[in-house]
Amino acid sequence: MMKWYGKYKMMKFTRSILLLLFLLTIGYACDYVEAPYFENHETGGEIEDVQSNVLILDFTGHTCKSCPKAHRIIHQLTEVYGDRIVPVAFHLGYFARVSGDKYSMDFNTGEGAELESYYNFVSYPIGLVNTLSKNSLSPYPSWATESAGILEKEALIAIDATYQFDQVASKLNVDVSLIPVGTLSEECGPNLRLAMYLTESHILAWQKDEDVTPMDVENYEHNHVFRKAFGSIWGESVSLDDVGISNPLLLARSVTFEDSWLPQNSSVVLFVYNSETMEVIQSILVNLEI
Amino acid sequence: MVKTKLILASVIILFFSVSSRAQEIPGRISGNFQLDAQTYKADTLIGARAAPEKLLLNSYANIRYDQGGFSAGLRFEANLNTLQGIDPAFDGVGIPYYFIRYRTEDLDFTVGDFYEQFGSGILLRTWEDKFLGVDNAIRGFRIRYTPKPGIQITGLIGKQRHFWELGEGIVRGLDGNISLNELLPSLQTSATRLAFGGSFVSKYQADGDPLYILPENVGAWAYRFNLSRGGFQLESEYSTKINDPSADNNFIYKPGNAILVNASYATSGLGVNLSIKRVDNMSFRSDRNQNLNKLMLGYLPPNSKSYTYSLMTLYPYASQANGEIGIQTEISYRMKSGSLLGGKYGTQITLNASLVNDIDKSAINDSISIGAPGSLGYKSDFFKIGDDKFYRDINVEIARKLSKKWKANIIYQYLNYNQLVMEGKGGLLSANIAVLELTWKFKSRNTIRMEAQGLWTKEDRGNWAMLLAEYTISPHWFISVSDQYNYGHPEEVKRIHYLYGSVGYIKEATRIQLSYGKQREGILCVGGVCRNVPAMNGFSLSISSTF
Amino acid sequence: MKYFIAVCLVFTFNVLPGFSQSKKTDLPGIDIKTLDGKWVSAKTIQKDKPMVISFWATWCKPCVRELDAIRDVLPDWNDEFDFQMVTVSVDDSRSEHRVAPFVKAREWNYEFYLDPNSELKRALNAPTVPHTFLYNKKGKLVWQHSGFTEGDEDELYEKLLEVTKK
Repeated sequence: MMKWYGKYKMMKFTRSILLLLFLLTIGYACDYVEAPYFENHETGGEIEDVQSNVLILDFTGHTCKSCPKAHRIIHQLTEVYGDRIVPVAFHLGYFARVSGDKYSMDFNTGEGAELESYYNFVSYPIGLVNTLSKNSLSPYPSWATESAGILEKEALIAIDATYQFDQVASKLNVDVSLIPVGTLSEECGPNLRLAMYLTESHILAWQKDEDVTPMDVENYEHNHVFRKAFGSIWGESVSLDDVGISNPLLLARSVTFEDSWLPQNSSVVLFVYNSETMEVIQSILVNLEI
Repeated sequence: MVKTKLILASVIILFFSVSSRAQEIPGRISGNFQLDAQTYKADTLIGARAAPEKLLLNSYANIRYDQGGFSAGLRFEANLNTLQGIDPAFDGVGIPYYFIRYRTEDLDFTVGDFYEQFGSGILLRTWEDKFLGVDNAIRGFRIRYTPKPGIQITGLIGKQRHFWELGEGIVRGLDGNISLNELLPSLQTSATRLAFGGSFVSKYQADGDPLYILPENVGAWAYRFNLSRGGFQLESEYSTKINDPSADNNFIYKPGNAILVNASYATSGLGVNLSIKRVDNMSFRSDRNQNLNKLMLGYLPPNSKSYTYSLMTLYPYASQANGEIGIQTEISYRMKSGSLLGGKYGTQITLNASLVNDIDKSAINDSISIGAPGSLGYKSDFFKIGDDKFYRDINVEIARKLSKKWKANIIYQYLNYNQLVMEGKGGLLSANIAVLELTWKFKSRNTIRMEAQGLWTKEDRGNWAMLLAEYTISPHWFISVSDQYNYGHPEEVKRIHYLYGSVGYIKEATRIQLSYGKQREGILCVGGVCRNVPAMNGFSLSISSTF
Repeated sequence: MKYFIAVCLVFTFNVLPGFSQSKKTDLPGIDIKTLDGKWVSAKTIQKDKPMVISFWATWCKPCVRELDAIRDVLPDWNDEFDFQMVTVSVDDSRSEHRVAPFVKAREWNYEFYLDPNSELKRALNAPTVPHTFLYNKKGKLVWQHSGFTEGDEDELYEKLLEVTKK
């Protein structure tokens, strides 16, 4: 077979392939970017009826020196998209251990430990963007790109929540309403789960940050810190089978604050996900005004 | 799933058809397999975690067929589930590697997965290391063309392996090498050998980021020059890349560069080596968002010597892609047998020094802090050395055969290790390490090897001592027991003995090893790429065979 | 993948027997580098005599023990047999440049090659170093051994004895 092919022809053929490769690579392969390096968002953020928000779970720790990079990405996203970004920061694992005089504040939770053994994190920071799937753990630089894709979509479920805070019992009562506003896929039906978390922001405590000198930062502002789940970390099963705009699914849930948590700095995160695919369908962030 | 079964069936059919026709087909089938299994018992004192699966297993098998210029092969992997410390994203069963290669005198095609290295690998090196959990093979097309002896051109295009999938980025590369002595008839017999080379590598990754304007195509170049004459040898490579904001460099838009120079001189009984390296913002991956050992495209060889004695591997150096400047020198001398100092059988003395610092970094202007994301990052004076010490290793090793039965090896090492930069905790630690190894071949094929090691430091986990005894009966059996004792740990409860025992059997190219004991938490590095090894307590079984 | 297998099968059964081979050897056509930087195909390194290929690295203790042990007995072996003693270092670009001074300083007298990205090691399916292969005069792989313990050089001696007798 090879002998039919003259050696000369073969060489010519090879040369054209090499030339092609050469042109492909050299000719088109460099994008020099000039400053400023930031995207312009002046016209962005049109308000539609029900938009898909983005749940970002940030797995972090106070002695993890790269973790503030992830916090900053969340901050930048929140500046652009506001409450359409629904962040939760779980302090867990090796870097969340209480150590020494400085890192004495304990952000660990039982729920966090449960997640750690479920996901077997190899490194921090790491996160999940609009999913709870083990196979979808994503490094923080991808969060913005992944969020942008989801923010363009329309929501399939509308979540609404109202709350009332009982000062005496330090108890937060939340009334939730769920309405399907788009067509949910069939297998979604029996696998829907609703999870509700309490988070707290503006907590001042030590944090390691490799991008500042010295690396140990006093009074670092810890935001979106996971405090407690309303029930299980994996939420509860909900059915939207006979639910419509006129008869939403109504639920009442509550959570009790610990003394050190400040209700005025707290938020409730609610999200609905498909426990089969572990994909998040919709999430909302409710900042408490107390 | 159906696909996998189909593939498997085809492989089996292929395998058996070929073996049954072995008489007619003059090709050769070869391969290997390896299995590593480990049980996990929780031990809170050393920080060992139990595994819900009780037993974890990593295994693979390679099959390869060679016939003339044709070869084809594949690797089957089963990680059920992946050993602790290696990314659990490797969990699963499948065939992540397969290729066909055809080679004539001047042409060499590969379709499928391949490993490739351009020059020293700073721009492009795809490789695998199962212990590290690294496999960044490119799946695509590669062509190598040798128009005449002394000239070789390689072109490739593909995507890199990312666990069970392919990475997002498309990699394109071109590499050329010219050896003047092979090319020019007049130089063919010359004692002076000259070679030049150059590479171009570019990666494409879409920009969907709503915050930054990212370059979708990032190009990088490398230039090489090698010269040798007699025992003298000089190798150098300079590489550079354009703006490549990434997770590694915290999204700065500064171009990167690296320079590597190795010089050596060797004559019978004496070897001298000097290498200089400077790296400035030269992390290169096919996916800008990845970290650790994922989707690495370039390989930055660390400027330090690698060791295998346990306590000398406690604080290994890893290349700092964001910036480092280092020098390493090694002098090795063999004192002749029969001489006064050399003794009856000769003595080998090796001196080594490695010094690595940060590069000089200063702010671009008053309003932008050093390394601020979305800026040009920093300015760096090429000839200035940064203040931050990363690594110092000064050591001397003496190896001597004392008699027909006894051999001794002694090492003393002084070490500075910037634990904060390397591991994100502690600070600059200093340690003294000493190793004594004795080998006693007390009768034919029966040998006992003993190691006594000590590591002394005031920082981190404090002082360590280690003893090891290994008894081997060539060519089949070995049995070893070791104890690492962290007697100087600042917390008294953590002054723990890490006892570990192994027994192994080797028959030709088959090896079986069973071990039991505690393993300390540490860092495992191969060529400057590292992973954390969690503490472990349990049995481990390892089997490998080549056919 | 299906196509890959199909192509594989077609190649194996229809095309291959048609190829003519210049030289038969069990070694694959993978390029390795000499100490002065010249790339040669592994297929071409054997010269009509039995050949030992030992894979090693400068950082690998048992490898160095093995090659030190063979250094001490090599003069005797050379008197007894006509064979090629080849070593292939899998040192990568971190320590590749250390190989030439390393072997000179130890006064090893072998044929040296470099395999900086472990291409040949992979093609010969050696999982780790040290790994030693023995080829007979006709280029057929007759024996291989993984690892090294003191005294293993005696086994290699016996295998060499068998191979050279034939």
